[in-house]
Amino acid sequence: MNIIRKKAQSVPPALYMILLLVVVYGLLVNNYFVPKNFANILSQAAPLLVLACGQTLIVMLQGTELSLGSAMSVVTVLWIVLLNSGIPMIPSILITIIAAGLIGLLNGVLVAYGGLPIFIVTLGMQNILKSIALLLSDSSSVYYEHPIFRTVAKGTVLGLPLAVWLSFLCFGITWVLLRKTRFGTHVITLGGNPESLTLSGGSIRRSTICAFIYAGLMAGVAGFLLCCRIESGNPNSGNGFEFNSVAAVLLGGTSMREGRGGVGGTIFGVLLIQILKSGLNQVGISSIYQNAIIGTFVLSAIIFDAFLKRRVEA
Amino acid sequence: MGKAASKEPLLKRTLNGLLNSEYLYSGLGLLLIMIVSCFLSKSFLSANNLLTILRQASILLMLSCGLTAVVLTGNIDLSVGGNAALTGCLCAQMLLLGIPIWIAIVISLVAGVFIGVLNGVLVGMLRLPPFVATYGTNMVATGLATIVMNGGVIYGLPANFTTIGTGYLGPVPIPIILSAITVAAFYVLLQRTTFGRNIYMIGYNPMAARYSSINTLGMLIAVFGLCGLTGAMGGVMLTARLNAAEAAMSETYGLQIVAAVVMGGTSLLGGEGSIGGTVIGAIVLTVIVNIMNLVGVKSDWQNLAVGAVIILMVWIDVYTRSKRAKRVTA
Repeated sequence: MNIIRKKAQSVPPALYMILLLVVVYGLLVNNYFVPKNFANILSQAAPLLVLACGQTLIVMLQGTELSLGSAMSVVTVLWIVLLNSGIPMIPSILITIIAAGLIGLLNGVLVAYGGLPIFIVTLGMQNILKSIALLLSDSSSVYYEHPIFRTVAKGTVLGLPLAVWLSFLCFGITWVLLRKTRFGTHVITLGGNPESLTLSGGSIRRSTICAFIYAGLMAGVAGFLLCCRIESGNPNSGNGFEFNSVAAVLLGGTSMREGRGGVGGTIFGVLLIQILKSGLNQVGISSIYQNAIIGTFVLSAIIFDAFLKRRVEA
Repeated sequence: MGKAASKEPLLKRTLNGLLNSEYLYSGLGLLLIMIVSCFLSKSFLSANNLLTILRQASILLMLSCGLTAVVLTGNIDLSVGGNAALTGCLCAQMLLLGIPIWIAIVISLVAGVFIGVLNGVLVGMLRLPPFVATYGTNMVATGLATIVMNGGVIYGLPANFTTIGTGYLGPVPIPIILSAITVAAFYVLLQRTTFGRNIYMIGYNPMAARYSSINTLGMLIAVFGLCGLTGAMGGVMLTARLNAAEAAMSETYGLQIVAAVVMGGTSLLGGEGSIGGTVIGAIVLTVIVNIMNLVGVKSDWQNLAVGAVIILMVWIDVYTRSKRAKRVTA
């Protein structure tokens, strides 16, 4: 019985709930188990997956990056605004990515050098970025016509849209980064045991700042994917993504208390949230209820996970 | 203290008391901002405007009272906005159904306390990080508010109710009286009771608090519950003042509530601060928002300012703390 229990704890709890949801939706929705449906889910999940990859690093540092959603909004708006002012595609992509990285840099510097709690910095930054997005776009959606949006969001390779492959690519890069590079080891050490990082020759400040820059860059890519999906720059488009990304990371088994875990679990967390979301639409629950349901579900899942962990600690 | 001190002239003693007061910096800050505001807009000092500031600040203050207690324990509650929205919407819907005003208010307050207690359980028993837990309950509360309102807005509430937000008791607007009473109650609670002392203890040294005879879990639930109560009171006041209710009310004050507490000198790391600081913080914040409105700054910039202010204030707090620590160990 104990062996079964131990095995059960190493599987991310998200997996059970995914199975549960899939069964429930399969019963409620016609044609749930067709490939097109799953391709849709993956396609909708793409920005969240990329964002959650960046968030995983920050959660491993025992923090939560609350500004990533607003950073995404800024990216969608900035990209469109740049394109509209005549700057060609490639430079505008470059400028936007650099801007995203700079946001991460600013967050990282405030945390590393200012000694401020991560959630305060990112909470304040979230507000600042929300304002910037609204100001850049003049409080409305901005538009631009270009085939790239459709190609990325809908053009398929082997049955899955390009956006999905891009998100997998980001996932892969993050996985390699965390498991196979020195930087990744530093991040993992930093979360669990900051002193040993200094002792082993790493720099707490440098690793922290780099982790935030990486999260910023991921937010940039996620913003691109989102923009391609909605084919516009919307200053409110990223709202709520940061909470979902934190939830995805926590549900995937990455623990904030010991810096344990990794992106492997995060992808399950993302799938869980997206399956829930897409399913609600398909079952026909009106959007008024959706936010409350998703919030409750995610909160319950986090509670359930904390409950499991408590049993282990006790 | 003793005979020698009482021989000093009253003026000198008052000056000394003022200079050494923990409110020195925030008080000076408020004075400075008010002086600057006078230059920025001629209508700033008008009686009408000052009254508006006090009304606005009193609702913000009400919402921030309970949060001050939570922050003093070293935690945070991001769900006050959602709490206020949900309770305000509940109250409005009940009033529309013809339920007597007092019953509607009491039920709304109970709902607010319930959310607060939920937060306390999540943070205290399940040891969820407070910002994750309360961020989540904020989402849930706002979502529930949307459901209660069916996505819409309610206008036009009974006059006997809206007088809570717009009425006067003599020359003084009612919201100011209500928040003054609440502030006084919190002052007594925090500074003069064992409960209050325990709150500071938990924030200052959580480990020691847990090993002492303090019932940490009970305290956390109580403190979060208090925050839920003042959040609900603020929500009812806000609905009365607006004479309307909608789920988006959670964003009316949003982060300003946290900012008011932080600006008042209460440290987010716990154990340090007071309700008096929150009063100053709420007034300063409201003055800043007010002057930005008078000058014509777009509301988007205002959000930016609030965010920047929070970062700045926390930075100052962390900085002075580390300086103090260095002085102690040096």
